[in-house]
Amino acid sequence: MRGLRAAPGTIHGLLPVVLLLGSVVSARAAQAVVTVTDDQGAPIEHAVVSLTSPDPALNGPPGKGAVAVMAQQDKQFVPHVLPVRVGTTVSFPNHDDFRHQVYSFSPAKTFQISLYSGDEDKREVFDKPGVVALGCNIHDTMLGYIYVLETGNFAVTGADGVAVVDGLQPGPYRINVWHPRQRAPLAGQEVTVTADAGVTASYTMSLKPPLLLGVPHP
Amino acid sequence: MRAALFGRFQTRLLLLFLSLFVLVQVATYCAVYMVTSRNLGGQARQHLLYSGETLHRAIHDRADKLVEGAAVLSTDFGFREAVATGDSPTILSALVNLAQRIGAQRAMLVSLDRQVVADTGGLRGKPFPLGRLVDLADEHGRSSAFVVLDGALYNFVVVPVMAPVPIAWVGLGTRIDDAQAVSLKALMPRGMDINFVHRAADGNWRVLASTLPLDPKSLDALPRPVPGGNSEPVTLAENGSDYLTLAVDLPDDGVDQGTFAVLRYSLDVAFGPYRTLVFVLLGLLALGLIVVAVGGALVARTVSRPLHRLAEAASKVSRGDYQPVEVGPRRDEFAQLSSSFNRMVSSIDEREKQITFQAEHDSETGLPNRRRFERELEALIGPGGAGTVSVIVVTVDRVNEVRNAFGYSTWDKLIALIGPRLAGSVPGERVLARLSTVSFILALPGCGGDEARSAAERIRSGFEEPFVIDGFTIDANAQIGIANHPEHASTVGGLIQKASIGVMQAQSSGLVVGVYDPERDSSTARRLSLMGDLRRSLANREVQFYYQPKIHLPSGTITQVEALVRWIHPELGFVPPVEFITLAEQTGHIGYLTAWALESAIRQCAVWREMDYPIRVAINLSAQDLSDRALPATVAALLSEHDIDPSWLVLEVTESAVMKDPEQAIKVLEELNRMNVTLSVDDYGTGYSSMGYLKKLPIQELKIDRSFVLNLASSPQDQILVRSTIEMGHSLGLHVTAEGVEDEASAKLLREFGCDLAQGYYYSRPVPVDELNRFIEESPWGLGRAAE
Repeated sequence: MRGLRAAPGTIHGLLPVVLLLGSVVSARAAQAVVTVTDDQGAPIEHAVVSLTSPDPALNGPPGKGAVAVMAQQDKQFVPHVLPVRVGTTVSFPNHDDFRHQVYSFSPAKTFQISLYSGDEDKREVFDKPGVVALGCNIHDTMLGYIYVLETGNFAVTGADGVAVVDGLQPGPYRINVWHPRQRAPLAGQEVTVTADAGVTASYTMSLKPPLLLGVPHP
Repeated sequence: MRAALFGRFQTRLLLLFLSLFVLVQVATYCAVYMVTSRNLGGQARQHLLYSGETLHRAIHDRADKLVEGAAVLSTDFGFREAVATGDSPTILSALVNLAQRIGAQRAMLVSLDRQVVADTGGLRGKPFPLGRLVDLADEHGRSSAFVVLDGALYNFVVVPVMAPVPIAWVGLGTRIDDAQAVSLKALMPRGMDINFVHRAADGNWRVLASTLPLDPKSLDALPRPVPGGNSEPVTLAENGSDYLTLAVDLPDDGVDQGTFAVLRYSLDVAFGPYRTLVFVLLGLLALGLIVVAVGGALVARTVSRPLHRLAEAASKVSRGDYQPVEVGPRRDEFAQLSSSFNRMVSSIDEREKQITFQAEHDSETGLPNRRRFERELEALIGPGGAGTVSVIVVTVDRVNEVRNAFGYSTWDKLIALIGPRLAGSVPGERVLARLSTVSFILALPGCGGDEARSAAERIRSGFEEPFVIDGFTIDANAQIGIANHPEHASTVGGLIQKASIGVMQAQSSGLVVGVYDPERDSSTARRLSLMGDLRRSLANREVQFYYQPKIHLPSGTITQVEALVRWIHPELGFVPPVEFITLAEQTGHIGYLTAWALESAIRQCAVWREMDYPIRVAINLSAQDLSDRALPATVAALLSEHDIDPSWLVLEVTESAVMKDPEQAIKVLEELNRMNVTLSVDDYGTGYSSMGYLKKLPIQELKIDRSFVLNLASSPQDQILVRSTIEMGHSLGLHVTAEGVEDEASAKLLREFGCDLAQGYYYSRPVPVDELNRFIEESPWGLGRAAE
């Protein structure tokens, strides 16, 4: 009985239409092109598409030492969603001319960066996979996500709902699609990437309405 | 009976007023009731629906307050940290603190997987009990519902703890108890009551909070509200009062939908203003009834009282009491009716008096009539009356002569003049009335025989002065009869009869005044039997002719005899001719007498012719004989039967007999004259000796009445009268006869005057035929054979 409105979306989400096209391009690397839409066929932005292979060698270079950036600009986290590989260090530069106090109570990474301004370089290492919801203690409307993954093969859908994952080595993968407002997780999709053929896939998912943070609902 | 009828009319009028008034009042009441009840009903419904909205709004406001309070906690960084770190003691103390601050009775924290993490009640570690309230909050950012928790009703809200995405849920509940219900009631119109009820899974209603006790059983009749709205208002009874009732849906937790608010609006309160109005109307009705009853009774009385007066007056009129009814000062229909009534009554009175007057008075003379006279006489002779009373009857003589000579209108005038003259003759206390066409009657109370006689004398002398009518001088004579009470009769009828007989007795005696003589009038029965005896006596020769000689003066011989009838009744003896001839005329027996007289006279004449006596026989004819057209034929037959020349027969008639029916009489006389029968006028000088008639009559002889002759010798006036009459008769070519010659001097005078015939006691009284024959033979007056 939970989430009646989510039910049809869930059905679509559970039965994604996956079209396998012949691999093209170079012998060394291939692409996965994934389109995510909602029930009405409207493109969904900020969806994270990742491909994880059972062969660790195919999941790209390790995250340790890598640095990603989650900036604060105009009282927003930029980007809204930041996928990183486990062990990646994320920098939180403040581009506003006032201070922020970024925090997370998510189990994957609980932290708090006390008040700071733009000229201070604040960094945190994300060494556990999972979703980390970011907020600001001062500005309740600020919300961002860092999605910590076991793979380096990921991309985020743009405004057109399309994400392109590059540099895939031939081999077996599991495609996952995640969105912070998804009503239910989509099941992973097993695919095999060959040297001369990429992957193209489409997913449909149902989203909850955006949270109106800091303001009680009317 | 009549009073009851009026009472009923009055009551009906009053009832009409009252029922009209009540009708108007009831109509007013109905109109007021309809308008008011529609208004008030609509108003009550409006109040109820408005209260439903108020309740919804109040619930929402309270939920908002709770949410605000919870939001303060859920965005508190310290609290979020405590939640994030699972710091249960801190969480609980924060919840307690929050609940106290915002006046909630229950607070709990629920994990994302719907487990109660902390609770001011005892549910920690248990699954969240309130249905899908958290899911609804997850969907809408908040949720609120009326829920039953531990047997009590709560307004419960759930909001997320955001960090910045929901990391847990805070639930806050304010208990809805009677006090809360009362505070909600305060927002609503007076007369509104609230109950919060819950229908459990087993179908039983529970009342959880009330401002007025409510029997849960009555709720089965309550329609269910539409979700998020109300039911239709219905009227439910509770404790004998009616309530307009509305079920208001309360927000639920998505699973248990058995919680409602019941709003009840007391119709007693709603219709309170109307009840006041009803009391006012009833008061007005009662007051109006009294006013209308009193006013109506007054009006009904003003209507019925004049009617009652009229009815009483009408009933008096029917008893003969012609009192006018009081008209009153008003000028309304009743006054008109009363005036008309009075006019009617007075004209009835007048007419009745007129009718009574006409019934009791004679129209010609204006005197009381016989009926009236009898009534008054009755009073006079009755007990307490005058004692002795004299009754005088005055009969006017020769009525027909006057009528025929002067006409009926002159007669009417004469009779009209006689009344006052009588009255003038007998002044003082007396009753004067018209007895018959020719008679007047007087009653003199307290009067004896002598006074009556002197009154009669005055009446007689009153008649001596002639009456002057239309230039004619008319002599009227009267016969007067007197009867005295109690001497002659003791009854009214008896007195009148005896006085009338007195008149006849006077006539028969040749007098003017006759006091009733019982000796001469034994009885009416005798007179009636007399007529019966007459015919027998005629046959038995008890009736005979006596003959009185008439002396021819120039020759001193007997040339004529007058046959005079004499009746010697075997029992009664001598019966006066006046009596039985009058009786015979009155009773229609005169025909027998005349036939007998003619037959006897002519036969006697024949006898004398046989004896060679040259004597003419004269007989008297009555008025009735003169109206008999067959008389001349009868006479002729008898004459020829006895072989007698008609000139031997002399028929004497009085002027008055001719005047009764002159036309007829003259015809008969003329026929007799043609037959050569000698005709003679008898009693000349006493009647209306009209020369005109005398000239018309085919007569040969004139007989001067005895009253002029009796005292002829001693009365120079009579001598002048007789002498001039003789000369007049001679100049008309008539023989003149004088009656009543009783002495020699008179006889001598008559002879000197040239009178042709004389008759009287001086010569002979009337005698039977044998005696007459002897007289003829022996007296100095022999038969005039030689003369003839």
